[in-house]
Amino acid sequence: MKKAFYSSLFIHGLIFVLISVTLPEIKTKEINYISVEIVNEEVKEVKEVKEVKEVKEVKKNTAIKTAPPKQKPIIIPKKDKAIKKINIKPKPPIKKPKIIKPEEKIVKKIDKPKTINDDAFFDDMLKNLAKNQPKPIKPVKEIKNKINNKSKKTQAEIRKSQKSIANNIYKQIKANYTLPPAPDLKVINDITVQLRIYVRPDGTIIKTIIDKSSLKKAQNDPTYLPYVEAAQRAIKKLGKFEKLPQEEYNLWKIVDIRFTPYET
Amino acid sequence: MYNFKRQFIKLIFIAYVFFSCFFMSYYKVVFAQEEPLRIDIMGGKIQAMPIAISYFTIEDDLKELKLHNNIPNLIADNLVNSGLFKLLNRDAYMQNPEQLISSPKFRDWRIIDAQALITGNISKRADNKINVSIKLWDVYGEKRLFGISLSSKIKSWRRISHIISDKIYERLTGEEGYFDTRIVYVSESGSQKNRKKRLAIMDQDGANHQYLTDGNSLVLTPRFSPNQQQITFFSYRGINRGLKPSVYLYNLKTGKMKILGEFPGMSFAPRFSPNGSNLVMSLSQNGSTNIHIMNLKDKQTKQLTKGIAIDTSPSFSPDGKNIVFNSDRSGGQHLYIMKENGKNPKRISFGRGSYATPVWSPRGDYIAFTKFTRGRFFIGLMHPDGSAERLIAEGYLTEGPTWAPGGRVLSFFRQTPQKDGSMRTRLFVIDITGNRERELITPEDASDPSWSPKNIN
Repeated sequence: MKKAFYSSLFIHGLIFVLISVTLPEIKTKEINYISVEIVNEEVKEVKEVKEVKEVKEVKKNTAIKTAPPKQKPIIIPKKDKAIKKINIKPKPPIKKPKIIKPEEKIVKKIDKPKTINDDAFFDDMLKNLAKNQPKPIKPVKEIKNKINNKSKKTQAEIRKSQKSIANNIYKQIKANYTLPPAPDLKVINDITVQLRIYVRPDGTIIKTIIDKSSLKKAQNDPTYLPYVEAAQRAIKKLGKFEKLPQEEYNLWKIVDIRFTPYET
Repeated sequence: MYNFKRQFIKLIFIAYVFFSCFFMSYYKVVFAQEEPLRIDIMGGKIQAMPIAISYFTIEDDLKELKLHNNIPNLIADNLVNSGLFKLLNRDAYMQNPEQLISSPKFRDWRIIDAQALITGNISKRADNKINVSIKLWDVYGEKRLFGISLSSKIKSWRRISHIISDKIYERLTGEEGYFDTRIVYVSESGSQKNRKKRLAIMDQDGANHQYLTDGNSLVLTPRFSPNQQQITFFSYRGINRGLKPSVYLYNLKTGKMKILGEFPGMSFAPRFSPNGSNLVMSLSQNGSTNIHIMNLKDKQTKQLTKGIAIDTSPSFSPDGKNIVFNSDRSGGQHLYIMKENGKNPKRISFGRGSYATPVWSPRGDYIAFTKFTRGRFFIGLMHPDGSAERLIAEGYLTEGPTWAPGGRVLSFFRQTPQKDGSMRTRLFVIDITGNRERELITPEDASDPSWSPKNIN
């Protein structure tokens, strides 16, 4: 009886050790707020160019260090080539229609507005496009890939990626964020609205949750409510983030946004 | 058999350990809460909110009156004139009023970037009154923000429109509306030598204009009482009967007016306290002008300032605890704040030039004033502590600021010399940013406007 007790104790102890060994990896990472301020439009433009370069550099680095993502590349580049060929060298109509590739056909029909109005053709084209579309990415697999990739990245690289992503998200939200009517009257400086958004791997915003404190304030203060609605409107207007690095989905899966309408 | 049992138990334990570890690592990968990316959005675009105001649906009996067009048009005028809203072209609307009776197709309204949509219906009641129901929709939030239904006589359709405008404005901005208000002012006509000055009143948009006095005696500085029923003003009315120019009270309901007390000197520049029970004014006697407060119930007066300086243009703070006024006690004409009992006077203006006619904003955050400097008149704003002074309007003679309820918009008058040597005096409306200045159309020259509090009737 004692043996059974000790063996049970030993095994539970072992489990405890194993769990505690794995736990530190689950610990939350310290992510600082990344404040992005635009001083003036010209500087903003310059910054944008630099950021694009930075993103490119990061992408190059990741391509070297990490395995390429499993997701199939979208077929659009092929179409671009076809478009370029046709636009640069306007060839005379081809006599043998059988030889023409299907891609070229599509391009030609797009060039002619009359054919676009043909509903049947358009439906067919949609179906074809649907067939060619890459399969939806399974989040779990992708997360695994990203974690594997991430483990190979240094902390500095992660921070750099975060900053780049934050900049990208900041610009997209800011472009859609309009202050509620009647600004400038608010002499109160503590008008901040906090939202949490959940994002799909393709960038679609699937859920927006208002922070509890913001929600409570909005319920009690009719002058604050328009600010919450303006923040929500910005997110709904945006709908989907563009050009976020899919291989770093973990970094932007959940985004906490703090709107501060008036800078102090 | 015993060994087999032990082996079996061992196997179970090993499997247990293995699955526990597997579960933990799986949990870590799949279920563990991701640390969110945190982003600060500082500032935002400032632009007029694009709104769509559909024409209303209406019963066939009322179609001739065109209220289904007039009411939404008036609401649109109010909101657009505030400068905070932009009306989207109705030709671009993809749903007609009948299609909007139940619920709008928000997607169709998002295409034209409408952020808010207003729909409505007008019906006739058994007592010959009309019933106007409107709904305000959040196009991106895909929800109804509020609905309201008002009933009144047909002739009061403008009032209904103003009340609806206020509700929409308040819901979308969070600030007090000012559309269901009126403005009293001094209407001027005749040559400069033989000037006729009459009290006149109109809606804030210039409609329903009417004269209150006949113009036989000069009137100046009319001011609304907080309860809207009374107007106080300065007049030479009894001068033919040997009376001194004095402060009068005019009752809007009865149309009667009475002199406000018998004073040894001349009384002028009256203004009500926020609760309407007191009146502050200047009394001029023995070469000095001081500020006095009068209790309107027992007519008792109390002197608030003393000395040989000219203290005038008193105006209460919205909480009634302080009074701002202008005085030349320091040499130049400057603004001062004192307690309601006249104690602790403190100078708040220190800029170059003369400051006059201070008026405390209904929100309490600004004091509007007239400033004369470098040969020109300006309308300016400053905080009650004297900070953040800025000038928002200027002109040859620009004077007499008055606040609309909500403290976002104010009115003033401006006199401009004409080519023929005459003067043109008109009322203007401007917001506190100094933008969106527009003229208030009046039948004749107009000066000394006073904006009423919100209609409470």
